[in-house]
Formats: sequence, C-alpha cells, structure tokens
Amino acid sequence: MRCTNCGVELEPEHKLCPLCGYPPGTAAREPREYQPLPQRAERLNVLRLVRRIGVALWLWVSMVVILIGGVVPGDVRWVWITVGSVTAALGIHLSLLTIRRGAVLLIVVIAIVAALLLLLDWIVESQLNWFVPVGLPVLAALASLLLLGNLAFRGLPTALGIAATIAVAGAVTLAVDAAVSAFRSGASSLTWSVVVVLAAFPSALGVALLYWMVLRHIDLRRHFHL
Amino acid sequence: MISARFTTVFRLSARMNHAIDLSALQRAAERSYRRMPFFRVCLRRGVFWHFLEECYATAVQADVAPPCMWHPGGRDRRPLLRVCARNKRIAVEASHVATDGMGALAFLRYLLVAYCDECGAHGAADSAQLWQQAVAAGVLQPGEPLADEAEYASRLWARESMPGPDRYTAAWHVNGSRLPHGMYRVTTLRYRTAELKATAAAAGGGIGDFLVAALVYSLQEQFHASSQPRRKRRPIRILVPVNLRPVTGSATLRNFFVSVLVEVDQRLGHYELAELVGLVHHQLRAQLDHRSLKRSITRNVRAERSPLVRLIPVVLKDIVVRRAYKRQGERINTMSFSNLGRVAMPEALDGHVRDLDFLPPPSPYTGVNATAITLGNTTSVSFGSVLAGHDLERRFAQLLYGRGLTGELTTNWGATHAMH
Repeated sequence: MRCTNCGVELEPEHKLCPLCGYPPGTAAREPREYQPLPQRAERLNVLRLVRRIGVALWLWVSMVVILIGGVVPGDVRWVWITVGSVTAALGIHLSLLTIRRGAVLLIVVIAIVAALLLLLDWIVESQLNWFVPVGLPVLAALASLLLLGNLAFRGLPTALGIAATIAVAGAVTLAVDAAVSAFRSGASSLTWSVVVVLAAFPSALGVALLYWMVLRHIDLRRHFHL
Repeated sequence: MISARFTTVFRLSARMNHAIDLSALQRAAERSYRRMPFFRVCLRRGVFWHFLEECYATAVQADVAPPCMWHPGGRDRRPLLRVCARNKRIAVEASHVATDGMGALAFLRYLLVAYCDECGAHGAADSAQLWQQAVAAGVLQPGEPLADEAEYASRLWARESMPGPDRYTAAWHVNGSRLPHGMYRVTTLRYRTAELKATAAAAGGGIGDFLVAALVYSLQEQFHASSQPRRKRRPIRILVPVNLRPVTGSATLRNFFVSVLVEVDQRLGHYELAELVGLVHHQLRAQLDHRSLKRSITRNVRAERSPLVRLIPVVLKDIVVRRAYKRQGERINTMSFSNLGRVAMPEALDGHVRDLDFLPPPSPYTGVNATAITLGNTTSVSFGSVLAGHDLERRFAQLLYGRGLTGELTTNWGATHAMH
C-alpha cells in the first residue's frame, strides 16, 4: 500500500498516509499548507498548576476565616459571606480555566453568581429582599443577552466580536437600570443607563469601523506570532 | 539541562527477521554490559558537579513507552544506557551524558552479535567463527574492557592555547505548537541505499551531503510557508555532529564529537537542490579540518576547567548552563542531522538483522531533529519531533519522491485528521 503523494510504503494499519493525510492511491493534490494543531495541549500542565493553586488558596482562606470566626465572639455571618464569596470566586476561576465553549461558560458563571446572591440573601435573612426583584431579573437579562450575542456573533472576526460585546453590554445596562429603579421606586425608569448606552453604541460602531478600515487588512495573528 | 522534553536520550534499534527471544537477549545484554561497564553508570548530583556512578544493570525492558522520553537523573539509579525489546525489535536507548551515537552503536553491534550467539543463530559458523567475523567487521573484541575505551578523549585533545570557535546568531526555527509533555513523534523513512546513492550522485554529492541538502531544501519551503515575523533575518542552519575518533585515532566509547554548522541565508534567494548539495559539501569540508575541530573540543572542555566554574555549586551551575545552552546551544541551529553512516555487520547476521534505525533525542528548542543510518541496502532517515505539525517530514518525503525515490514509512503517529 503506497502513498502516491509521498512515495512511501505504508504500514497495513494506516488507512491514511500519516504524512499527507490522504488515503493511498489518491491522486496527488496540492498539499495542505497548515495542519490543525492541538493548541491547548501545551497549556494543560499550566492549567493544572493554576487550578491547584486556586483550590489551595480557597482551602486556606476558608479555613483561616472559619477559625477566626470560631475564636472571635459575636456575629459570625461575615464568615459565611466570606467563605461563600471565595467559593464563588474559585468556581468562576475554575470555569474560566476549563470550559472552552463560550455559551456554556456564560451559563455556569451566571449560575455561580446567582447561587452567591441567593446565599447572601439567605445569610442576611432576606432583610433587603432584593434577590427576587433585582438579582434574578438582572442575571436573566445578562444571561439571555450574552447568550444571544454569543450565538449570533459566533464566527465573526475578533474585532467585530469586541464591538458586538460592547453593544450587548450597553443593552444589558438598560435592563439593570430598569430592574433597580423598579425595586427602589416601584416604577421602572431609565436614568444612568441612557448615558452608558450613548457611550457604548458609538464605541461599538467605532471598533467596527476600525475593523472595516484597518484591521481586516492586517493579519494580527501573524504579526503577534500567534 | 535534563527535563521531560529535553531528555538527551537517543535510540538505536535493530529490526530483526524473527521474534525476539527475551531470555537470550537478557543474557546478551549482561554480556554486553560486562564488556562495556562504563555504560552501566547512573547520573548523580554532587555539590559542585554531576557525576557518574556505577550501578546495577537493569533487565531488558518492554519497549512500550514513547521512545527517548525517559530522562535519567534524580533518584533513578538505573544505567544511562538501557536495552528494550518489542516484537522483532531490539533497541538501545542511551543518554548523551554517557555516550554519543558511535558509542551506543558499538554497544548495539556487540549486543546483536552476542544475541545471535546466545540464540545459536550463527548459521554454518560456530561461535568462535561468528566473533571472528564480527571483529573483522569492526565489532568490539570480546573479553575485558580496554582502558582506551573509557577515556575522556575531549580532555586529552583540548589545547589551552586554541581560540574558541565562532559565535553565531540565532537561527530560524520551525514554528508551531508542541505536543503534550511525554509525547514524541517519530517518523522513519527507509530508502534503498543504491537508489539514494544514484540520486545523490546525480545531484553532485554523496548520500550524507544529499540528505542534508534535502533537509535544507525542505526547511526552505517550510520557511517560506511560515508566518513568523522577522524570520528573514534568521538563517536556516543545520547542525551536523562530527565523530572525532577517525580524526584523532581515539578508541573511546564515551562522548567524543563536535558539531559543525551548515548555513543558508534566505535573504540571498531561493536555492535549488543541486545548488544546496554543492553548498553543503563545501561548507562541511571547510569545517572538517582537524584544527577547526580541535577549536570546538577546546571550547567544550575550557568551561569545566575554569576555577570560577568549578567553585559554583551545581544548582547554580545548572541554571547558568541552561541559559548558556539556550543562547549558544540549540538556538543557533534550526535542527540537527546526525548521520551514523554505513554500519558493517558480520555476514552471519545477514539473515537476522533486517535494518537499523536511529532516533534523535527530543529537543524543545528546535522542535524537530533528524538522523540517518545505513545497513546494507537500507538507509533509514528518522525524524524525531515534539511539534504538533509534521509538515517538514511530509515535504522531505515528497521532495525525495519527486526525485524518483520511494521508501517505506514507519511512524508512531497515525493519520489523525481527515483529508482536506
């Protein structure tokens, strides 16, 4: 069994030539310029190290805080607030390191933040009563907008992705502003978010224009040796 | 210097025509270690230097892990040269700490003769005739080790008054992601020596020159397909180790080689293969004169003789050596190409040893290195790579195929991607 591209006799278990990737007997074609490379392989050990450092820090901080909480007399609610916050930070940190799919990452991070807010609400015995009227709508708006953005803008060049993210972030502030004002005064109105949107949308447009006029003509990956 | 990716371990292996008899191989390995006890040493760390210490020989090991990826040192008290076997293959893996390619080849040849002797596979000849033939073919004389074989020849041939060799700028390197740690892709292409020789002669050189030129040509193509910035400032440079034993008459089996460099600057334009063969031939011959080679020997030895270097603790020395090696070590060459040339075997082994392979040590700096070895009518060209891509190997095979050379491919890497 001989590869007609490379001129080498292949071992029987090779259905494709390991050098050029074509089945033996295939007519010679223009060889591929680049092979798909396992980009993540190199970073695996670093990831493991960072993950271990994160878990070690979490354990250490939690233990110290719980110990101090046990020694210091009085209200210990701050202990659980701290432990909850550190745990949420660790969860986000691990998600950022391990989850590669943008949409899944968003859902996980938002779920962690929701859990943290719920914990805070429970710890302060719902005195503020803000979780359901403010926390959840804001998170839901954030999740749905970012998810939609992620799905809609997938495959776009990086610069356009940045422009879209800025625009989506501007739109999210509208939802946040509406939810907060509804919680405070009983009626939703838009105040500071209008200013943010007025800044965000032109910025997004500026980045898109920069891409259209300059960046699309330059191979940044090549220039930065990526 | 030793790390998971920079093991300094290379491999010489023989493909036999029959399945390996492990007990016979074990006895042959014991005989070989007794004949060459200086390979039965492990690497230890002292206060000021690493040193070699005699240790017990290990049993023949199963050849199951990726080749060349064990790294000696630390608490590992196993010999720096080990024997592995699998199916029909006998392999000798050696660390460059203990020896170089010619030293390991001497061990492998002795091992193969001893193995055939143990198996009783010496045809019409009896054991004495087998060894007589072997010694005539250049295999070590059986018996006690000779003092010359264990000498540190570099120290004998270094001359204080000699100037050091030239310094070089950084060379261009094949870019691309690396394979995960512990993985090493090996690609061996076997060509018929007579055809290779005829093609090389048609291009105006010998097999060695032709293979170096073909590598330079493949690197040249890779260079122009590369997207690295500032690459044009960096030359393509191939490091070719030179065996110093014929030049000096030394019989040592420890490390005794220096390296010469073949350089092509792409700012001067594109080179054709025939041009490269001539260029390589002249560049190599210009550096192979014995005075130039002694300059390199002196440079290698001078560092260890310096009182300042002697006083530095080994922990700091390792750091300094690592940095120095990065600056004037593999940074200055694109890849290395080590050619052990034609290997002679006794006639009695003709029906037993099919071919020989030689794998280079992995290098995280160059990414890919190449070697060649010839036994009878088979020349094996091997690439050892820690790069995820294998464009260079493909370009090389296709270049030779374009010259009418077809070969046999053996690799530990399947075609993992679909056709595009």
